[in-house]
Amino acid sequence: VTAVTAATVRARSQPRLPHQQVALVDLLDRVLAGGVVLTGEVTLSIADVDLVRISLRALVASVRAAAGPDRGPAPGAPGARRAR
Amino acid sequence: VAENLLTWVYAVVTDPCPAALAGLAGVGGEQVRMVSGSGLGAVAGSVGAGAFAEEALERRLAQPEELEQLARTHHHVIGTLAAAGPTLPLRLATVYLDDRAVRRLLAERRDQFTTTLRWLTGHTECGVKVWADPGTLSATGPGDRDGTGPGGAGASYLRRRRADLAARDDGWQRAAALGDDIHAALSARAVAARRHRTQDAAAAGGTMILNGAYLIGREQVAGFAAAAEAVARGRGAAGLEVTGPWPPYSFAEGPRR
Repeated sequence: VTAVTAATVRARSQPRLPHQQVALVDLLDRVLAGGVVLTGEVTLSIADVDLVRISLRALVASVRAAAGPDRGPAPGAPGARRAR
Repeated sequence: VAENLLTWVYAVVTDPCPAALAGLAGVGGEQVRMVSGSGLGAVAGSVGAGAFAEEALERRLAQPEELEQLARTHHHVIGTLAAAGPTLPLRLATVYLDDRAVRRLLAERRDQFTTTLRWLTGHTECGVKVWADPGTLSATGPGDRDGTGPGGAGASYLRRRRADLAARDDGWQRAAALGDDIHAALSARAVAARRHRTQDAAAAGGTMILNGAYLIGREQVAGFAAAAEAVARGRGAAGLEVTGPWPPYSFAEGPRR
């Protein structure tokens, strides 16, 4: 069993300052899978599952673009695939 | 000719606080405003149908840069409100034809919104992501390295291969159980808890085993983060990241019924 070393624990015990940008992947977890789900009149067919699907497609594209041909996603970067 | 406008809704609040909205720009660059009704306020903005009607919006959500811009702006408005008072975030891309439809919504859902806002008062959301290394969590370890037992080299290879696979499965099962265990320990310290899907983001020496959200008192953020670190450390996780405080996105559906 591996012990947690100080280097691998990245606990931020202080509240984030307002100007610090949150990680997009964590934000998408919340704005696409959280929040009150209402069927907006205009976005009837952009239901839950569809929204997650189209955003995943967008994430895959953005990770590929950011990673370039030689590098994989950086540690902590949004993955190219998310387990369901 | 004026463009046809739609109403994008960000959040619902109990106590409309117009001061927090002054100068706040929304997803279409519009001035964010309050649509009041049924003793509640829907924080909304008028956006052009050209960019926000269903097809156009779906196309934009599929573009990484546009998705990011929409998500960050939606979040900025909600975060500003959450700093000022109890806020019920709405999911990204909730769009109505006009304000009248939004007032109708407030009337229909008044009880649900009021109950949830009361429940969320004084609380905030913390995220905890935990990684583990399934390889090191295996109890059995790689099997039978040297033995050429009965059956010769071929059979020995197969036995070794089976043992390795079993050890790997065992490691994954232990990693999953560790995630459940840490989530249970953190849930016990929170008002409510939810699990998001794990992100497939490789971190130094590990696989994500927990992507949790915890509703805690606003004053408990630092204490909760320290407790999360202690719990993960004590149970042999390979890595931990605490995020937040967040507006209560993961708890917008209210207390579990």
